[in-house]
Amino acid sequence: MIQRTGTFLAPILAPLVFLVLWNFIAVNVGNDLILPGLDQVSDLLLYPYKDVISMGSLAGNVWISLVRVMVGYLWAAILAIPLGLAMGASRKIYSSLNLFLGLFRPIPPLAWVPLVLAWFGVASFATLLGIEEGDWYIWLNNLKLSMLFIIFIGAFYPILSNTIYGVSSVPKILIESSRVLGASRTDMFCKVFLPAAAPSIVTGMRVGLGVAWMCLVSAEMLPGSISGVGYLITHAYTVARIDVVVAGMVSIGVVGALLDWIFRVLEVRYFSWQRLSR
Amino acid sequence: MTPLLETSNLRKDFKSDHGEVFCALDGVDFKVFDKEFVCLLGPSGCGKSTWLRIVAGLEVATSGSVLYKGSPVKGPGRERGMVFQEYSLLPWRSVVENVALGPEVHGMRFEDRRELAMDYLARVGLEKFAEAKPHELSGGMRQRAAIARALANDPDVLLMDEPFGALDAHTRVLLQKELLQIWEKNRKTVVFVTHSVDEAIYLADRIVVMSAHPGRVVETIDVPFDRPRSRSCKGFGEMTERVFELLEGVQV
Repeated sequence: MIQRTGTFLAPILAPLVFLVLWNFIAVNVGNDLILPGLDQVSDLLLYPYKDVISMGSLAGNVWISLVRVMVGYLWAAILAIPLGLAMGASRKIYSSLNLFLGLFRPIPPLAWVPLVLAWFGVASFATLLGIEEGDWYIWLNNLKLSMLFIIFIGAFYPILSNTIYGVSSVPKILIESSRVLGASRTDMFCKVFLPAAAPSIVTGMRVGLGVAWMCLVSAEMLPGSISGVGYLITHAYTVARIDVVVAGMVSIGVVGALLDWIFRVLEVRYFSWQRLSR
Repeated sequence: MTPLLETSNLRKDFKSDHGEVFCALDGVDFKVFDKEFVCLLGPSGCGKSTWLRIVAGLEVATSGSVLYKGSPVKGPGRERGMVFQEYSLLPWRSVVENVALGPEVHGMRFEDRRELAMDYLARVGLEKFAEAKPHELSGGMRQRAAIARALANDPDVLLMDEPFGALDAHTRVLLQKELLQIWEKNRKTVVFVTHSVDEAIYLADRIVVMSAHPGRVVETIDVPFDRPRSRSCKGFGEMTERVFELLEGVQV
């Protein structure tokens, strides 16, 4: 019984201590501009649909950010997965592209900001589609090309690296035992390489989504942005609303952890063979 | 009579990372005839597995020729099935899906290939484990499934590369017996690589004894014992002694 309560309590003990400590310090400091109290922040989080600092609701801004991340991330996945498959399967393609792509890998997504702004400015999907007014304009104008590019860069490399690793580390014995059955190249790809690499690809997608979500804050600090949770945080700082800053940070953390959790569930459900067959 | 498989003057050199050339096979000639059970016996490093892999089409010989029914081998093909020493089932597929893989890549319909796979699973006594994943099986069961997979693809010749090498002694003897039972029902040509003298004499019609560094054929021995075979049959012990002496002579 004690043990069961222990396992139930263990994961929530650290956050609990953290919250108590936070509130204790906040009350003692007594300055909202340095550390807002737990009650102020939880008020914001409990009513996420309430308008804050006349920038729309917290939930609305998180949603806009999520859509941005998804669009940028989707492009990264669409490009990185096939490229990674090709690079993992063919030594020729790998050696001709690896050095080139390796040169861009160390550049932090944030370092792209000035160049990307020079390219795209404040152009958005609305600009691309030539829509200049109405509800659609408001929505599409949130999808700034510069932001999407930064998110794309952030998600691209983790997905690429993991896909290459997944394809190139298929055990030789699995390849050979399928080849002696007379499997064609197409069969080898669809029935051996792809399923064998799938767990790595999904891991790459999970890591990539995490990075994309983190790149978001910097992307939303770009000029021309008037919404999104990243912008909400920076704007809240300029109007000295630290409670909104913290509430925004908490939302980023919770959403990021949730996205990660979804991928982990997928990994456990569909790829348990990988863990068990070791 | 043309042999089913024939290698002549087969040579295979491997290059080490330091650029040294290492000769694994040095002019190996031998023939395998239809419906024959041949064991390739030799110490480790004699190139017996290399010979098998070249015949399977997984390696390319440095020189010499490999003929299958009189025409040169150019790569893997379904007429030459293979069973490996390592566990080789696809870990994400169930056992029956693994066994059905050969027919699947040759375009057999789903129901037909499933039925066929179940039939072969029954032959190796694994029908109850059809839906299990490979990691749920013991080593012996995995090798049984690997044999079923090779047979379900209907090859002319079964190349077996120390298939029981990773199993415990008891399971190993059990699987040898089962293999012979399957083979006697439906005689395929089998080339079986092993370093166990006992295994070779128990299984083979003919034993090809090889020496190491470089790999050469030392002697070919016909095994005259009746089937179904027993280790207590007359002459089994004497032949074991003789082969051991032969191997002692070739080992440095």
